[in-house]
Amino acid sequence: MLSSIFVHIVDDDKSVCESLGDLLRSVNYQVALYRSAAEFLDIGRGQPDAPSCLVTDIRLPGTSGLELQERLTHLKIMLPVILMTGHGDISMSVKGMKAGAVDFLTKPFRDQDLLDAVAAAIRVDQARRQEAAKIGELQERFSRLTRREREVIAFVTSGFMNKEIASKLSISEVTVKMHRRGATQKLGVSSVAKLARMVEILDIQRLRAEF
Amino acid sequence: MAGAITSVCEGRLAMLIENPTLELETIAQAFLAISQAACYRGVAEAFLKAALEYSRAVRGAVILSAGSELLGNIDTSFLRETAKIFVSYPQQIEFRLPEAIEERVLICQEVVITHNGRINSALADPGGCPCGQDRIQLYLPVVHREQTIGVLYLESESRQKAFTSKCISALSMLALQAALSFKSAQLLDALRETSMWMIRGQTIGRIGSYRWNTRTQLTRASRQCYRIFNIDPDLNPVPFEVFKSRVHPDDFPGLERVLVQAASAKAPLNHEYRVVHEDGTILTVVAVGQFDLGPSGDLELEGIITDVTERKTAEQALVDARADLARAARLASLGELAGAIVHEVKQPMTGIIASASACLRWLAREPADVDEARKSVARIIQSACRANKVVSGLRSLVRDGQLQFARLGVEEVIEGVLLLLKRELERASIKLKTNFDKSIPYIEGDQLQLQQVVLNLVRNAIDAMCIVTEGDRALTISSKFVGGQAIVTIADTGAGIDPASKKHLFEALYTTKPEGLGLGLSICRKIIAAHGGRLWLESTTTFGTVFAFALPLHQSTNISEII
Repeated sequence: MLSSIFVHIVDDDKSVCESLGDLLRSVNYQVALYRSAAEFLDIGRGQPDAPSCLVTDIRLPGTSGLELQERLTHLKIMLPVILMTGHGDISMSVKGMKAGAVDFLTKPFRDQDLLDAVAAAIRVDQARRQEAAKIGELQERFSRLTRREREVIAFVTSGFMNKEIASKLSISEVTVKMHRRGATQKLGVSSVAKLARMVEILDIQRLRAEF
Repeated sequence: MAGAITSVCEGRLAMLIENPTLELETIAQAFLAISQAACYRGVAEAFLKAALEYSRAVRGAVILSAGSELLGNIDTSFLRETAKIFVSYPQQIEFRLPEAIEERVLICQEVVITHNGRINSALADPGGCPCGQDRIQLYLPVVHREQTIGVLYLESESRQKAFTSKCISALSMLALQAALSFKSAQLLDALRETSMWMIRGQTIGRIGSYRWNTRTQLTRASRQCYRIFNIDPDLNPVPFEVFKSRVHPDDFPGLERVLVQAASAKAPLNHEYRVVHEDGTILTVVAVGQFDLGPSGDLELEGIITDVTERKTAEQALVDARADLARAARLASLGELAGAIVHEVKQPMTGIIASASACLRWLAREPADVDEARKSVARIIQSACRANKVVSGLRSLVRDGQLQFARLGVEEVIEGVLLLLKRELERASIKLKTNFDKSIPYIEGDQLQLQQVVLNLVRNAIDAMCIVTEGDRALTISSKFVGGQAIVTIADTGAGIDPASKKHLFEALYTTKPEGLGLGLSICRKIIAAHGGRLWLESTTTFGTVFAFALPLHQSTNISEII
């Protein structure tokens, strides 16, 4: 009955925290409650790896909600964030949204507002997870290529003909064809276009990793 | 003028010798001319003219010095430019006091006659003198209080008739008069200068001096006084009625009281009041003075009036700025407080909404999850209680509970507040009338809280009157003792309270003012109630509103709660 979706709630106000948890549990989400940003950073990462989002108040003792959002970005934790505030603070909401918050709720809010925001955040997380899974699979396949195969692929996706590649690598054209075939089989792609797109995604991922 | 000096000489001289009466008359006229001269040069000219006329001398000079030091420093060459006052006949001639004579004349103060002919003349002779060789010269010191202040020099051609002892004594008398006139001219000069300084000083300092005779009711005053009071300078002395007409009507009773007190005690006077000009200009002045018996034996008030309007304006601006700042600070802190309160209320509201909707969802399940629903309701109750606590806390913030009773006079309580509001009343041009029943005994009450009530009611009255632009603004505060209770009424001439607002008047958070909190009257009523009294709206029309409160003399218990 319980879904695998996980919602993290951070609010220093215990009763608010519990009530929000109550509401989310009543629609079958799994919830984890935290009273501070530090507590979330400590325990939150130990939670099961499932589609999830973070609902946090902006005003928190110690690290604020906005600072927590920054910390997550810095730690490359791609968790969608929903911000809450008791003061309809425009400048804070703008800052939060610019930093990538999914939604911004002003207390007191209607139950549906929170549920909608959480649903949207979960969709974002699921999409991200699917993308990540796909990339992960690609990376896994790519890692099975030999060094020669990778070199050949690099030239192919850069638009070189087999003949040119052969002369550049000082191997026969037949050997180039052999490596090329081996690589496309391992990667499971049928056309050069698909191959190019795949390399492109992986390159972006590599850039991101380096960044 | 010197040109005319001897034009009459020749004719008159012959007559003088024959007619002693005419001679006396001439001397008398010379005295008159010298004494009437108002300036230094006038004195010297009149003296020279008289001396020439009388002595039949053909040439002459008079040197007068305002300061004895000038003569003391006289050199042998005593040029006319260096002398303070030098007149000669003929004019434009140089004078040189011979060295041999200088000491005898200036120091020994002797009259010296020399027969040295034209060569030794003390007057330089650029144009050549037509006169003959037999010259006789007279040097006569001008002495005042044993001090040589000048020299008369005469030159005559006639050896026989010139400078007889009679002539010399007449000239000496004229010299005495010249010295006297010269000195009085000097005195007048000094007086004029002092007076100028005083006037200038009074103008700059906006200070006027006055002397008021209490018997004749007339005042003599300096020019600056006329300016301050806007009185015609030709009106001298100034009748009391004219002075009174310039005093602000609201301030006159107070001024009169102070004057009477100071006069009877012969005490120093120091009083501030307002002066109104015909064009409506209002000045604030401070009168300082002292009563004493004047030269006439009448009781007189002498003192100075200072126009302090500018200082007042600056002071007022400072007070205003402070009040604005205080108001801004109060509003800011209220804003902060409100923000905090709002947050504190929003938290449990968020919880209540979330738990309530969760509860509905638990119950909507098949089967209903009653256990979870119950927990949700428990949370709702918890949050609601918390919200209630926040609101209660707010109430205690507004006024912390306990009263401290002490014996106090109702009039003192009110006067204390009026002292605080004096400026506000003045600024709003509100006339204040008080009518206190002196027979009210002391009551038991919390002074601070009661003052808070009066302050609130008077502030409301001021605000109500500030909206009205027509008619006089008057605040009337009365007290009376009825049925063992002290009753205070506060009446304004404001626009009144509209019927719609009337029934909400004493409700908390109800206000008709843009910046009001709506706590004033409700708190007032609670304070009065805590004193065992009551506060009510006596009447309200479009011409004004009257609030009243009644307080019992004694409190049944020493401590009671307001809220």
